[in-house]
Amino acid sequence: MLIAAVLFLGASALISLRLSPGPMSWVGENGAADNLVVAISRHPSLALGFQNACADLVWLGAIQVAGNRTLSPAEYDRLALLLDTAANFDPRFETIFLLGGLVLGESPAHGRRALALLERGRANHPESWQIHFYLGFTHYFILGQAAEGGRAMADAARLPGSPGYLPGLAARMFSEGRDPETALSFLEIMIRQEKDPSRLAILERRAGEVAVERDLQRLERAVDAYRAANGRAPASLPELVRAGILARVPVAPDGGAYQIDQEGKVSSDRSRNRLKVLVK
Amino acid sequence: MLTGMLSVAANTFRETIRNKILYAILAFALFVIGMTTFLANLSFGDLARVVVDLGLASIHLFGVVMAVFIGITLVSQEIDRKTVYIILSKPVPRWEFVLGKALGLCATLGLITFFMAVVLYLVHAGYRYGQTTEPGIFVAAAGIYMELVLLTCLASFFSTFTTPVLSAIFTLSMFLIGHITRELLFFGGKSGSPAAAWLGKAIYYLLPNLEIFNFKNVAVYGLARSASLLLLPLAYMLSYCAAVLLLACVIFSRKDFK
Repeated sequence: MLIAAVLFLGASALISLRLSPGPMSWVGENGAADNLVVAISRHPSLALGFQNACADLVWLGAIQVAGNRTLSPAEYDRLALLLDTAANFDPRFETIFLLGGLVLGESPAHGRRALALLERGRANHPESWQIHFYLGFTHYFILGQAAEGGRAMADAARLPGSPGYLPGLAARMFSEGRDPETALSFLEIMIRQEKDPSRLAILERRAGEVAVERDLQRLERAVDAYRAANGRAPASLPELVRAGILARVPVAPDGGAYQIDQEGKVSSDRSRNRLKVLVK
Repeated sequence: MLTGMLSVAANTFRETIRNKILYAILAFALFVIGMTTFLANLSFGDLARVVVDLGLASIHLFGVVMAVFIGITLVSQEIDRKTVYIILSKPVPRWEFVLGKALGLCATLGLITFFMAVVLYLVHAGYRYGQTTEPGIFVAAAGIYMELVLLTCLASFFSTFTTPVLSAIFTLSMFLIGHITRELLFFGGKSGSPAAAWLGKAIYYLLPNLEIFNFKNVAVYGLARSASLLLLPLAYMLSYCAAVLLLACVIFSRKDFK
């Protein structure tokens, strides 16, 4: 009897495997269920006292999306939806707003969504200097709004617990254009402040991308100077050093190498796409 | 005085605590509480909040299942087994019988809820080994327990005049409505019709408001560390339960067992 039961169980598992549609995608697979959860989140008492559990389950879904190394536009859309939904269930959950600002801000097309989420975070956590700081960063580097960025950074500086160097950073925001060096100094501060290893990994990845962009912009300026002096683009990057324009060819922080093509266009062999928000 | 009620309560406690279904539900609840640590590892930020959130949700969900499905059979089972004749032939007033049955189940639920809260507290403390523990878990569990007591009283009330199946449907409906009364008030006010607004208000104030027992969110953020939070909800629960049980006693006193 027992053996027969085990055999039937095995048979049902095989049938289930056969009928399974394959690995679940986090994008657009569960449309109807998603719509229901989103609708419930707009009236959280419909969660029947399980608002926090719902917030956590949606949050876990958001992390699965955010954890991908590269996100497609559809995945950014889904991430924004999940973070909004989780925040509807539990507006006290501060990490939702920080993650939203951080990851959605990576996509120039989703900068406004990142900002909207951070604004919600600020309304719910007016005492959190980190949310004001992230708001300033998003305004300044993602949306190019220096004045708003400086104001948010100045607000962050006035809050208890904020580091003493924030007023200086706010002043820099007001006075400088979008510059990778400034972005890097902000990211270094964020990295020093961050204790959570997962958010730290995102910040470090971001800092690496900004550093590559900084090097590429330096190389482009050097190529322009070389072209102006010699009437042609250099054949290789060491030529810029030999001509005395560069002290040395920078080493890419992600372990890749910088290269130059025949038309004088510089690029990194690791990062195919430029960080659009900082391209001038 | 009240010895009859206490005897019925003690007997109901013994009977329900030996219920095998109760242990099956409890075992499943403890399994889910244990599993929350694996889910927490998928998160980032404050990982331990997932343990508290999902653990308290388990206590709530399985507590409601126990309160409803044991509560609805409290009185009807005695009638089906004819044991009610033996009890009521003794000098036990009918109202003492009804109150004793509800009290016995509340004692069982109190013990089970406390046990689940202790397990969750230990799982949470183990997960955050070396860091501060969260006593708010017990405050949130006390809130859940008050909701279960109210549902038990409602289940007892329904079981005095209808079948177990209908009692279950009515009690679960009360659970659903009890958590969305604020929405009904809101939608009633938005409808523009004075009758709908009045109905929304009537529902809001007359039907049980179970959201006032919900301390899960404040517990997660360390804002539920004082038992004084429970005083007004306790007064509400006692008042509402008294009303429901009095109605149950009136209906049961007039019941004809022939």
